[in-house]
Amino acid sequence: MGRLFENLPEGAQAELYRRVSRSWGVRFQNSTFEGTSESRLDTKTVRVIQSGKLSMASGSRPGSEADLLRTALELSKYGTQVDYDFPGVAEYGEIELASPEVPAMDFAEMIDICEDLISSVLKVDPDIRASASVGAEELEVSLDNSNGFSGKYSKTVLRAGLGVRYVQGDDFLRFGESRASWTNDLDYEGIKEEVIRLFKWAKQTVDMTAGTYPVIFAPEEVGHLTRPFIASLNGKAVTRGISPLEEKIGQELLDPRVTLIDDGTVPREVSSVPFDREGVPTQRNVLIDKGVPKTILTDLETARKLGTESTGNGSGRGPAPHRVILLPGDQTLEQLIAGIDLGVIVFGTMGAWTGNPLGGNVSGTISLGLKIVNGEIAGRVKNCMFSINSFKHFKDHLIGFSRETKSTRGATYPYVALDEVVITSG
Amino acid sequence: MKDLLRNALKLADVDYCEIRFEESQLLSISYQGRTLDTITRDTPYGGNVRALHKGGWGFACFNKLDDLEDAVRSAAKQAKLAGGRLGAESKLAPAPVIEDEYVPEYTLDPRGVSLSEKIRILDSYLDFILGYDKAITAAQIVYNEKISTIYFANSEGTYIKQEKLDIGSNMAATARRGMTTVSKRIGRGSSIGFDCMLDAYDDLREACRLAVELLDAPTVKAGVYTVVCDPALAGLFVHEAFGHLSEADNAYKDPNLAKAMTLGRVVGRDILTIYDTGEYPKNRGYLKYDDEGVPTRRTYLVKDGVLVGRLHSRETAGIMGEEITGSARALDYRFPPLVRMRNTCIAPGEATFEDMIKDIKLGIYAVGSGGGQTNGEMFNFMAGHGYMIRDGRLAELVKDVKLMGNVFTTLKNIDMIGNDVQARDGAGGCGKGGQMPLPTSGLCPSIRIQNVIVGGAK
Repeated sequence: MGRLFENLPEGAQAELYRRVSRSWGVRFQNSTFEGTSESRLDTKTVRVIQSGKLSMASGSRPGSEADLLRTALELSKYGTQVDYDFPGVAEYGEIELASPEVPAMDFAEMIDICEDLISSVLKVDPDIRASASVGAEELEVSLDNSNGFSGKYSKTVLRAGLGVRYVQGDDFLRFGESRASWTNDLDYEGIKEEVIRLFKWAKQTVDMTAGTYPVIFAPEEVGHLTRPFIASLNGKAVTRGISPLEEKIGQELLDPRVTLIDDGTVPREVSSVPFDREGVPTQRNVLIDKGVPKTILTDLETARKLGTESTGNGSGRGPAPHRVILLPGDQTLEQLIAGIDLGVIVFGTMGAWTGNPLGGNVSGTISLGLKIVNGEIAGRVKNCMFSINSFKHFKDHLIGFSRETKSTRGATYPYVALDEVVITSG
Repeated sequence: MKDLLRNALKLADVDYCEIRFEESQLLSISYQGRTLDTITRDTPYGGNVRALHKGGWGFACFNKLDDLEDAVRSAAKQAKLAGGRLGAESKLAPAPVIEDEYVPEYTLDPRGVSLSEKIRILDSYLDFILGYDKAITAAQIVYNEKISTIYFANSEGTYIKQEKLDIGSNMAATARRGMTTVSKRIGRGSSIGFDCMLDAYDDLREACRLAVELLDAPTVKAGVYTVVCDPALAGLFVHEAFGHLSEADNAYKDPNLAKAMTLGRVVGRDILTIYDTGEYPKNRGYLKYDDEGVPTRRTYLVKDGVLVGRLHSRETAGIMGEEITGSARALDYRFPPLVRMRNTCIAPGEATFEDMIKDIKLGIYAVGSGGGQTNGEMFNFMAGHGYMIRDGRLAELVKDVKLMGNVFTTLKNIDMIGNDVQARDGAGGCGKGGQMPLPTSGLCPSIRIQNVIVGGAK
């Protein structure tokens, strides 16, 4: 690596990020085996800071590191003006992220798992068209820079999913369940049970009148609700002057039951890493503590602009969370449901990711929602939208969080129950 | 390259095999806030082999050309494993054997425009946005340019070397006052020229004006309305609400879905005609050959309100006994092709804008596209902003306009189609099966839809 950086122009700094991966998997579509796949990829990204300007070049051509460095140096005269240095020699903690059990998985084992997942739902109703997939990845990441930082880590990831499509006339039901783990310990029974439970609940459709209701959001959907907080506490939004929380740090903003954390340090978690994309060790960041915004996520650039230290959230394209955790409450999901006379529990949404998160408004189509009547599930609601404002609802209309949590898509969330949710139906 | 690919294909003892190899040059420039944020050159280089045997697929992806033969063997071995389990017949609809080297006719080749000139143009847009009004606190500009050379060969004798250009850009103004933040953006895109990036000032002025005005606009009141969608939102609607449902990889092994999508079914009024096409080189969905080496063709999906076609890969066409359409597309060399849209269009009608709003007592004129999603039956899409329509006239500005509906009901509720076709381009693209953003576009007129569910405030 030293050689790559040997002939840097005076005053220039450079960094090489390399990701070598092997991924393989099987997939079933429409209840039948479709095929297998295997990828072997080796990608490199070079960043340079020259005369205070940052630029980047990446590629996958073998042996292209020197070309990438040359390209990045050429680009740097147009680059972003920055006022920081790449980190030097640094200690970072080792985190257990790679398991020998994942590379040992072969196509035959994956096919057997998928066949079992598919057959479990077909037993419930043969008209279901099920999809299933199992995919594995082993990867090695290394980061070196001309200031002396040198780090690497290995990681393994195993993912599995089971999806259901059920068409009766013009009536469609479509949803799925997926899990990921660093090792071969995925809860396939849990996947099957959740899909079958939801399918049985959702088979019958019931009417829902427009109005405002208490609504429980399943952990998979809670990320849409917390997006305004995470976007507003991103150092880039703050330094750009567009964060509505810029002047709210340290002030009471939300219900005191709201504590939101970002943590990239947890061993054996697929979204953990020992250091971020810039070589800064990851850490546990309390974003919101008992309703009070505490921490702005930063990378080297935004930390310098804000006069703080990087929180270890550099992604190469601005600060990004590693694993968002919303601390759970003390009621069970069953108790939350039992406490609602008339409302909805939402397991799937569409389009809730669209819109400007900084305004706090979150709305979307309820693609899988179940009506709650007198504390019990009554059937599926269709043609409904929900609308909330996260800043307002997590302050004034929070019913509570469930004791149960679920880790999904790089986050760990409980079920979230909110009151006064606008439901529009047609 | 031709000999290399053809010789490697001889190693595959399977029903069908194809190799795709890609060399690309990407330039990405983004501005965030008040300054240039990132400038990146990326040079993706790699290929994949896809093999089919007894109905089962194998896929192997690689970076080193030296690994090509190993990848062919791996894909063939996987296909035999899958085919051995399935024991089915490999069904691919016939496609012409083609030998071609294709380079688009560029209107302004971006390789002929220096990087400093591109930055000068983008800088001027940044300055324009930031200088418009003191309420504008930030600008966001994204410019992506990708020039690819894609080599394709299959075991039937087809060999194609195809050059592709994809330019996509968004430019947005963000206004903020206290806890209220509003962004408005414009989009640009092309498959043949950098000229799409020139002279954006009029559109930017309008975006800035709206961003400032929307600070004081109320959130739309939730309800069920008659909605007039402008051409950009109509393009998003037809993509999300109907285009995805027309992709045959959903229906080809699902008899119930195939029944719901039976050709000949009346899905709309006789004013409605929808097609998807690789034509229109000025837009991002332009495509000469798809990623199975099939020439793209205009594919009518709905004609005069009747379902008449769907989008196919060679496999879905083969299994359903229908004609190929050239709709198998992959994001890049890391992925196998899926059935995807290109430029999805609604044929123009005769209505003027005044015709469409004059008899609406209470409705919404929804403008611009902010993303959408579908699950087959229901859709959701976001407008950039909207105006209330009251007693046949445009009234106050409203924000956070998000619309949803049932696909089949909504198609039948389209009761007027405008004569004002416009394209919808920008950065970003379509997502499916983990492959995003695939360049797509749409050319549509304004449409009027009855009984649309709109989310918002109570």
